[in-house]
Amino acid sequence: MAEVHLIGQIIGASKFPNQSLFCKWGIHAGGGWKVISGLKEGQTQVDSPACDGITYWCHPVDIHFATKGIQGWPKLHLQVYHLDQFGRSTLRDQFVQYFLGGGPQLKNPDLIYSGNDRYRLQTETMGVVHLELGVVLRNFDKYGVEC
Amino acid sequence: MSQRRRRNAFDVEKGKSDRKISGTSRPTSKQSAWIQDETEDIISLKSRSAEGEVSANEAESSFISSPKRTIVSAMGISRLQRGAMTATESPSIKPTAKTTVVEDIHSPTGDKSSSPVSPVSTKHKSAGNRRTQLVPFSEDTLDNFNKDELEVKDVISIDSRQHSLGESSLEGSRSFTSQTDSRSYRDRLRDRFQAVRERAGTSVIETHTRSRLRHRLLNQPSVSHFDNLIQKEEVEVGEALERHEQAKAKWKEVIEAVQEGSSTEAADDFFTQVHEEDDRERADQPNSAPASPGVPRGESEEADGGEDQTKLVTSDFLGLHDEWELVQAVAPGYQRDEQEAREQELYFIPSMGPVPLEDKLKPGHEVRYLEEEGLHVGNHLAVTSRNTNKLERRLLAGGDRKWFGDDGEIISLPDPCRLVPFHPPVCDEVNSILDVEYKLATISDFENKYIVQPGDIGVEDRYLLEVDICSVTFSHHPLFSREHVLAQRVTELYLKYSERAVLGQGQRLAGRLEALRIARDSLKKVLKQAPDASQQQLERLQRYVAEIRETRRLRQMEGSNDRQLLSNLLLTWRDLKKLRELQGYTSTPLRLQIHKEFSDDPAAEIRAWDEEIRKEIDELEEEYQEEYNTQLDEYSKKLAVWKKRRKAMHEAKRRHQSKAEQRIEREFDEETELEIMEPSGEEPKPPAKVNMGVVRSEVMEGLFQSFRPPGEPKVYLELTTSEAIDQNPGCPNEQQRRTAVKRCDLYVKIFYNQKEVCSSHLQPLGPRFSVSIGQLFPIRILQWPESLKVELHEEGGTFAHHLVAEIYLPFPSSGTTLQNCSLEHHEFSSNQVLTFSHAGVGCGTYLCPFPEGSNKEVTCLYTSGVLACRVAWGVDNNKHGGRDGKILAPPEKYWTKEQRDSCTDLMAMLDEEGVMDIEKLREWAETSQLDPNDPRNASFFYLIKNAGVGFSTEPNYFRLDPLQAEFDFCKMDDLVANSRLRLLQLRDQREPEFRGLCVPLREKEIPKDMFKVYEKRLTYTDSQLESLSSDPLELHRDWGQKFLQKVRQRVLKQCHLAQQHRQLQDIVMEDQVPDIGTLGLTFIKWLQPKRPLRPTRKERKKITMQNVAGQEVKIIVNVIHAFEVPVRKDVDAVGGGQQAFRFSMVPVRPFVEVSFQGVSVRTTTAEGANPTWNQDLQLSLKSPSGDYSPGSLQSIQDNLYLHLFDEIVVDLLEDDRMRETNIHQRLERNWLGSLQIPFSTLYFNSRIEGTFKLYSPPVLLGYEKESHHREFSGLTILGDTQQVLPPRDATFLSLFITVQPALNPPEPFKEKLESSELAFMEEHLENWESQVAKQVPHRKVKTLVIDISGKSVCVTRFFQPLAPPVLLEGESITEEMAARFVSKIPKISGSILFPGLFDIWLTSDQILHLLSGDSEDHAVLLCCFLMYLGKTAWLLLGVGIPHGRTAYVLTREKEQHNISYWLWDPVSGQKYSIQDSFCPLQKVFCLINDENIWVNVQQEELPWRTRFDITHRSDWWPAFGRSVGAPVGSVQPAALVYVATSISATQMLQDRIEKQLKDCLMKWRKTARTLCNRYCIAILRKLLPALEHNTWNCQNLSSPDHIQELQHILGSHKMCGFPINLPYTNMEAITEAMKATGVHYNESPDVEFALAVYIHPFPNNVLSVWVYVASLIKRR
Repeated sequence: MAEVHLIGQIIGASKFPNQSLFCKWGIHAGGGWKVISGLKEGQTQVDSPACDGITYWCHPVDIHFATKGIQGWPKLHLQVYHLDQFGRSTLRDQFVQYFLGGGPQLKNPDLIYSGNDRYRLQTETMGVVHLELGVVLRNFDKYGVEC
Repeated sequence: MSQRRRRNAFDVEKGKSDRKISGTSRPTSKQSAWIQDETEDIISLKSRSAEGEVSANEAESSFISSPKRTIVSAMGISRLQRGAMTATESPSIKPTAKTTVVEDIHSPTGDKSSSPVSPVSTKHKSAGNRRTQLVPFSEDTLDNFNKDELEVKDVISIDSRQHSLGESSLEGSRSFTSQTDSRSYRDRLRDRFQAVRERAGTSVIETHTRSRLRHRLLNQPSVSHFDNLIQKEEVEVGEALERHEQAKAKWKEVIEAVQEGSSTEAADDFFTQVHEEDDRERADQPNSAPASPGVPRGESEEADGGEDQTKLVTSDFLGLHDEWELVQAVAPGYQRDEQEAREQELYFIPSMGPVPLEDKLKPGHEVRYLEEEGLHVGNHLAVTSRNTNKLERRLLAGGDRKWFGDDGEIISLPDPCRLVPFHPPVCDEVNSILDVEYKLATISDFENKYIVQPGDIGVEDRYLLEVDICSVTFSHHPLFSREHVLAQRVTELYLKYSERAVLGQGQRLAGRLEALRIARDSLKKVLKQAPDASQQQLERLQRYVAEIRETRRLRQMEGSNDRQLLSNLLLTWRDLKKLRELQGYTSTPLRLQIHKEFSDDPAAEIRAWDEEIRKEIDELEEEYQEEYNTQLDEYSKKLAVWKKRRKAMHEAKRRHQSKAEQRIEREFDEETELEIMEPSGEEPKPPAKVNMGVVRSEVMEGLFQSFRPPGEPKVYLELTTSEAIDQNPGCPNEQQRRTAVKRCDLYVKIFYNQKEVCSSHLQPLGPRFSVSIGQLFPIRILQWPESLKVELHEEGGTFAHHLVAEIYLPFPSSGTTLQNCSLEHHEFSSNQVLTFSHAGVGCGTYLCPFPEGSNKEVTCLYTSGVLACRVAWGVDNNKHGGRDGKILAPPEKYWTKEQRDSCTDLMAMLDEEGVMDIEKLREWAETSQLDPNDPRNASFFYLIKNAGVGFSTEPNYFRLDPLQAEFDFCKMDDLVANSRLRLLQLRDQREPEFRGLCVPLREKEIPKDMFKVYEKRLTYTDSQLESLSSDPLELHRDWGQKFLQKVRQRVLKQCHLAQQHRQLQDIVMEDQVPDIGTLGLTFIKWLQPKRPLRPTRKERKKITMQNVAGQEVKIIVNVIHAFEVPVRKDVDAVGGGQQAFRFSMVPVRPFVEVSFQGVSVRTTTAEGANPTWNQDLQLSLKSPSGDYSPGSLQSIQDNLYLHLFDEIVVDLLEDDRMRETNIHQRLERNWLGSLQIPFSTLYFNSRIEGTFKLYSPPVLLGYEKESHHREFSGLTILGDTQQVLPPRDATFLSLFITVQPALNPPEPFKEKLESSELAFMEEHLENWESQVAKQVPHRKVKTLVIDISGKSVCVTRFFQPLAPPVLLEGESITEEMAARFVSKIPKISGSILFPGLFDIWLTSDQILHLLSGDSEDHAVLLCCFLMYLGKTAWLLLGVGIPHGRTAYVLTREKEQHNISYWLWDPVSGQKYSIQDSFCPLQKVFCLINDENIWVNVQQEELPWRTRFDITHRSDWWPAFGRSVGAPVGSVQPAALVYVATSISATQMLQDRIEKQLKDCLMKWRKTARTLCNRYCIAILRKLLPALEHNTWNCQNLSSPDHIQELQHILGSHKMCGFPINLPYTNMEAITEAMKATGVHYNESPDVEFALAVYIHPFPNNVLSVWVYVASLIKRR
């Protein structure tokens, strides 16, 4: 019956090739975890910084978990999108989307959470997302978990 | 270098056999050990090469310093080092090679010599590190050496052996000194080896230790052997030494001669002699040179410098040619023939020819081929037959045949090599779940259809499908006549008959039965003779009997089937004949010929028949007997049980009786006994005995059914088509049918992959309904075959052209051609329905083809038939290119997926989830006869076996993480059960009970009944009606409330969702950047003249809810002034009402009290009938959940109450004398009127401003209006305006109410809802609405409103004339009465009911049913009533006070030429003239009736300034015009059903209310005793019904007779009171209303109260509650 409270914010992103960004976020926890209150996922606004190099979202994250075990500790999962002038991503996508619509997306986004097959995913470094999360733990010491 | 060494090691191995041959008889095992050791040495040598490499290289170079020795260098080094022996021993080495060897051995000797005699040594400086090199080279040594050349090989061989064994081995003890001449050659050689070893490195020491061991091992068993060898060698060495002595003597002579004589001739002679030898040597040399071509010349170059000197030395040595000869002489020891002879002795060389089979088999055995017998023989290792043969011969030579199996092959294990890799290949393809996909991508499978791409010409004609359609035969056709139908039946039956006849199943079974019987009888006989029958025999007998029974049964069945068929056929044929006779013509050529054959020997037949009967009877009897026996057994068992039980029961009964007397037994016993007593059951019946007569008759019956009885002829049938058809039947129907048949043509179309590819010619149908098409359609295909379809089309006939049937043909396998495929019959049918007027029977209809015949069955016949066709792949007949005869089928594996699936039964056994059905699998295994011995099938059989044994107990699940529980803190249930977490969660879900709740940190701090309310609410919804009170009135109201609550919850949820969509303004607070326009305005403002006496209100900034948090929200009420406040009648002026002091100064002292959420504040007391306060009152707003979001604010249901009181100062001073010093007064308050404003109204309007009419009681005892007063007094101040307005009956209050800080009203619910209107209508109304919004943006109109089901409906549909209820018997209802009725339906503000401006309109029956609604619903209802009453009525939407947006009803009355408009307030039931400036309606927006919607587009919107002529388009803009009319049809019911309200229930309620109010009154007056004036109450009760009736007639409420009734009391008491009228909602509302009046505040000690309640029941449980409350103070 230990509890974990995550309070903080997604501050923003930097070093992305494009600066007009928004972020979809989600917190994924294992089966033994129960969301007591707060939102598990969300989406930030689009920030288009004019002068600064950093895109600021300052999106609040406030979620309260109760858990029956340590397995499946919550994982934060962020997807950063950027908008072009038409609200689309890359040139190729624009081209494809122009004719076909839609855009490439992972068929199973859940895969990201499990590391088993993730190594096969070919990815590219894009930028940095800044987070500020406070983790408040409760009752863990009662069950012999030092924290 | 190391490589070279290794090669030599192999040389050594090679030489192994040679050595054997050469007689060096060394045991093979030892030899191998030896070799092994040598290789070890090599390795060790190699390992030390690191340190010794340099020196080794030098050694090497020293060996090859001479070009003559180049050959040696390749082999020599290693030989020198270790294996020189092998080289010398090898018989293959030619004499020349030997020379080189010798030389080679020699040369180091030369190297070693540092003596001045030999100049060679000078060349090699590096050789100095060798001990042996220090040995001065003497002539003796040289001499000896040369002489002993012969021995060298043996010496070396021994020596080297010794060396590899270790120095200490054989001659380790023999020490030698290198300086002595006398030492043996062996020693010297050894010495040299030693040197080489040392030069190679130090690791020899290691080998020493090892070799010592080895030596010990070797020494022991082979001592004698070695001794022999050594002795032999010793002899040889001795001889050699002798010879050497001789040679030395010779040499000495020569030297002496040279030295002594020192003559040049001698010297010359010596040298020339030598030269001759040299030449000879040179001549030999070329022979040896090619032996080692691999030696590079470069090496010899290095040694160029020393060549001359070497020559010299060589010539020196070669001078001793005698000894050279000797070497050659010894060689013949290895003669080839001798060797071969010896080999012949030792070896057996098998021939390679095949061995005859009989040799390999054991004598007397036959050849068996296990594989053919079905046993599993694995794959054997592939060995060439030559080798096999050789091996076989070898084994046979051993004379043992045990090596051979029964099939004559060598017994061998199967090939151990796996053909398939053990590890499955790891495919490196990307996991499918890792794929990215383009959403909305389209899949076009068209391209994949092509086998060859369309442009590919070269392969165009590669694939050819040939479809040969032969014929189509109909088994039923709509044009069949009845005769045809019967004929078809006959044909079918005949076919079946002939089929059976061919099979002859009956005969076969009879034969089998006979055989079984014989077998059984013989077995029985055997058993009789031998009484001690074995178990096996008995079992066999049993089996026979069982089989006989089975066969008999089968035979009987077959026989009866046969006979049935025969009789059917005959009957049908008879029908056909009868039909032909009846109709007088034949149209089918069918003819059945019946041949009868009587048997020759009827007696024999009878005998056979009787015999059969006898046998069967016997068998049956036996069978029955058996059955009887078993039944008897069972019976006896049952009987025993039953008897036992009966006995027990009897006993129990007896005991029970006795116990009843004693009554001491324990209950427990009783129970068990009762149990015994209960199931006594029936007595089992004994089985019936076998009745022989029955058996006999049974047998007879069976036989008659299935066999031809004796005497009956055998019947053979033959069906021919030889009957003549009548060409001209008399029947016109038949003629028509025939012409139709004639006209009918048939053709087929062939579709490949759903595309038509070809069609056949038309073929006439013909009278036989069999069309032969006989066409071959070659189809060249470019696409992968998917489907092949033949469509059967008919032309002519009844319909012009139609499709008869579709037949899908399977594709042939790729090897099928027309040559090798047979005709296939495909059945087809169609579900077409046709009937004809002519003789054709049609199809799809139920009919009996020949009702007169035997078969009266009615069947449904559908067109059906058989298509005979062939489908095959084409064959390439082109002669060119050699492709002749190639089948033009596409590669099968690519397209016959489904075929393959169906072929493999295993696949079919997989059910949908992919789980194998074990039963099916076993069946398959049995039928497919898998080899159980085949190891490939082992696991399969294991599975089947185990499945059969039953692994059923095995759980059909598995645990994913069996150890997971160990790591868990608690169970999931604990998480759910935790009350704190639950509380948090519910709060998060925004359940209303927990909104804004503060959750404690510890669980134990949470009260246990926290969830009670919530849970109750959850369960309440299910069983709400049962739990309600039994009172029908309450029930009705409660039900309505609950229903509305539910709708409200739903709506709230929807709104909650809608509020998630926030706008920018909600989030971002941004000050507007001033632009020129706004700047200009501000400048203008400065320039404007300041008018402080006319202040204007500035629009405040709306504050978002985020900013509200933490602040206190206040409601500010600015009470400005009131007028027309009733004034006190002078209390003391009893009887003297006309006296002058009515102008006394204090007629009334009013003040206003404002209360909200239980908190009240009041103004100061003003004086006079038109007081002015101009006072700000502040009340704080408490949100229930603590947040000020629109969602929670709009759910606040509290009302803001404003009460106008009159404050009376009662002088309490008893004594007038104290008046000068004391003031003793009491304040009394008398209620004058009140105003009730829901908070939601305030919230949505953000401010309320205006002059409000207060609700005041119709009669206010002790008070009167000043205007009345004036009227009555005759002092008319405004005498001239009397006719303008009737005296107003109300008090007015000017107010300004607002909320501080300004709250953002919620956004209207904009989500578009499903509409029940047509799309164009919806669009039109929306259009119109948007245009209206453009023109008059502030005037809200309603076009589409939402009904209770959540769908939007055009608003005009709500209007329909509806009959109002009859309120008074025998009196027609008036408008006022209708309005009164409507006003007594409780009103709930729409915004409270359905927040978020979610406008739901109720229809009239709904509002009557729910008994609540908002003003619009009331207005609709009133409007409908008024329309029914013949008024021209509209619904008017506008803004009124105090409720903001409301709905009124507008009526038009025509009196002569005078048109007057009236406004009805449906909530209060009041009627106003539009001229009335105190009408609460302030703004007129739009009018609606059943025909149209009009929006007010005039400048003015005040009702008294608005023109109400709706025909003026410039004033009123209609929504529906010529183009679009209002939708027809109303959502209102056709008529309202009114239910009379129960009088008794009303009475009960009335009493209850009265009692409750009295109790309340006492409760509120805690400090004083509450007395009741019963007399007054009686009078008041009498008065109340009259008040109700007065309202119906719109009479002046304070009628004089009312006062007169009270006159008596008023005379004796100072009375202050008023009647309150309100619609009944619930008790709380009434008590609250009474409390608000403050009657109970009278603190006078001798006050008495009077309280009367009257409820007037309107139909449909609408109740009007009148409460008359008064306080009485006795006049002194």
